[in-house]
Amino acid sequence: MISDDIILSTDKLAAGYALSGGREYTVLENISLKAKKGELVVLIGRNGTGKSTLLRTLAVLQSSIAGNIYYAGKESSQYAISELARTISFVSAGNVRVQHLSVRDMVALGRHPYTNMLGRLRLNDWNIVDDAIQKVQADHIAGNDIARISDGERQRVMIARAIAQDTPLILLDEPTAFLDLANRFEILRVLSRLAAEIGKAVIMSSHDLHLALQVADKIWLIDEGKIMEGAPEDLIISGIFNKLFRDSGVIFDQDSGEFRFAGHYVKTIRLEGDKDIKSITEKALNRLGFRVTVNSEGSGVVEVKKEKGKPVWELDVESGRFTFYSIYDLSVKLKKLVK
Amino acid sequence: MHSRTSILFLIIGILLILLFIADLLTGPVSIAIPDLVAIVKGEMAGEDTHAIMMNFRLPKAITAILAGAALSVSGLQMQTVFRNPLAGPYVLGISSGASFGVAMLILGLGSLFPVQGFNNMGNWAQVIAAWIGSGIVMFIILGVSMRVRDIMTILILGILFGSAISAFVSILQYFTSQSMLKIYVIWSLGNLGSLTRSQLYVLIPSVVTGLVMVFLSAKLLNALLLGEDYARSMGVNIISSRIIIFVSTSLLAGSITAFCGPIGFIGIAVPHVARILFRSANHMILIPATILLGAVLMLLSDMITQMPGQDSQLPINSVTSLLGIPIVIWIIYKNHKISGFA
Repeated sequence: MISDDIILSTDKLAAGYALSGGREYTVLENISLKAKKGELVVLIGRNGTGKSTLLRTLAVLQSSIAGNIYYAGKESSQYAISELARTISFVSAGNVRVQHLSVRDMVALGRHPYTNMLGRLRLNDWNIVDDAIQKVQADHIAGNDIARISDGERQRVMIARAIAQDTPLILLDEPTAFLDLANRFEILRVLSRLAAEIGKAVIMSSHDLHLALQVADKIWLIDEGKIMEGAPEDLIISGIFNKLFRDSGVIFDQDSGEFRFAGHYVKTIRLEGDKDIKSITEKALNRLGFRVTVNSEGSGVVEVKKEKGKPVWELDVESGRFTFYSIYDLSVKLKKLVK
Repeated sequence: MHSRTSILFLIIGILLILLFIADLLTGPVSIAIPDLVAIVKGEMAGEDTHAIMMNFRLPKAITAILAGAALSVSGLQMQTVFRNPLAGPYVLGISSGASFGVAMLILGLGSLFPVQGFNNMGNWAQVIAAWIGSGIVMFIILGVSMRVRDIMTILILGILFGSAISAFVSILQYFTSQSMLKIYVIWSLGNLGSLTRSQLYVLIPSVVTGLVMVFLSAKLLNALLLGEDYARSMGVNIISSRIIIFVSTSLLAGSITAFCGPIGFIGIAVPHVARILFRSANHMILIPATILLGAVLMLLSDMITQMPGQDSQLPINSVTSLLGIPIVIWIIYKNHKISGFA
């Protein structure tokens, strides 16, 4: 039944952790999931739903409470520790800080499962290491001390270390948690290329839904102890995202695939004019509590124009007609109107 | 290997040989280089000189090398395993365990016998008591470490355990006679020179076994640099690596403490010096570097204890502390921005 492409599958898996006195606390149960070769899977869920517990269970960093995990069709308990290390590699959210360790030596640690007792790397190992560094585009910092590179670079190096470990499955626990937006995009780009071009199964957890929806081949979504599986768009159609963020003041916009604050509109306003700047102006108006209409005037009219190639906003309200040269100035005036 | 690394090893190696010779020549009775040459050639350099050299100076210099190497390398292991720059050979409570054994012997059992009779037992009794004490602590820590997942819990337990034992030893001291107390205090000051040759024959294989185990764990230690999660994901068996590392540390630090008494701060300071000099985190380099530097620093400390022109000696534990603490302070000060470990 199991095709060769399936790298990871779980059967009625229950994940949780051991409490004192031999008792167990189950966070998630009856999990049956699959991840294929060449897929980037993003595990999402709100804080405390068991993302990390599940990911660590899949990485065999903690033992499962019930059920089975299969790697390439073979049950996890059938693997020796050394064999697992050649099947799964792991990247954590935490910032690894070691002094006097170069980027190249850090990546070389990934060859651990393949070296002899003394840990000596052969020429072939070093080639794999350099290749991994190149895949995350860290060539220019290969000789730098790991303690003296940026957080984003360091996380890329940790991914290179996982690549050097040469496993069909890479598991990453919130690899973008402490990074800024540009670095998050960079990491996800690297990961989706790893899946698409090298054919690895890459599974990462993240609480960054917006980013996940854009790159994931498949999403595992945890909600109320259950996991939904599907392409991002499948989950959007199912309407699960609005359910996910109930009571949180966030609304998922099905059309744009974006989240926004569920601020309620106090007033309406008409918006006209230049097409390019109209949509961004609408966002600003929404933020300020105005519902934008095309026909009824409501509180007034905002017209977007262009003067000598620069945008100008004209506001026509009861108290008069005003011209603004930035959205900020416009918003200051509108805020007064809302009051 | 980098040429810089090779040159450093060469320099430290030469320094070790020079300090070893210098240590042999240092002491209340002056022995000159020609005397030493004569002894090495097997010629008689005067009966007293020969006896002093073979029975006192040589065992003491060898002990210094063993103690420096053993304590430093077990400090390196503990710093890597606990990912804590202030961990040392005694964080597992080994020193307290040894003190407990000696305290029970001298202060507990000893108070039942006259002082004279106790002295006749020689220091074998002390050594065995210290060994038993640190051995018991080692087994408790090993038992805990097989059940507890989080390595930091073990670190905290080790420290608390040590404090509890120290408190108990203080109570024993309070209820003991002055003469017995003096014996205990002298033991706790540390002494490199009290070993007989037969004791050296026990210490040497213990330390060598420990060092071999450390070399064999170099690959594990490299993986553990990234923490236990990463190490496990790279195929390291955490339980068996804890066993090999804790047993070797206990064997090294426990034996030295049993024979020489507690010797502080060498184990914390030397691994940092090795990291800074060799600019490496690779244990295949750090282990031999720490062993050599530890031996060098301990020989130097031993020479300082024998203040020139005086018959009396300074306690070795005080000298190593006064040498080691400034090094540790300097390291903390220098690293306050990049806090080396997570």
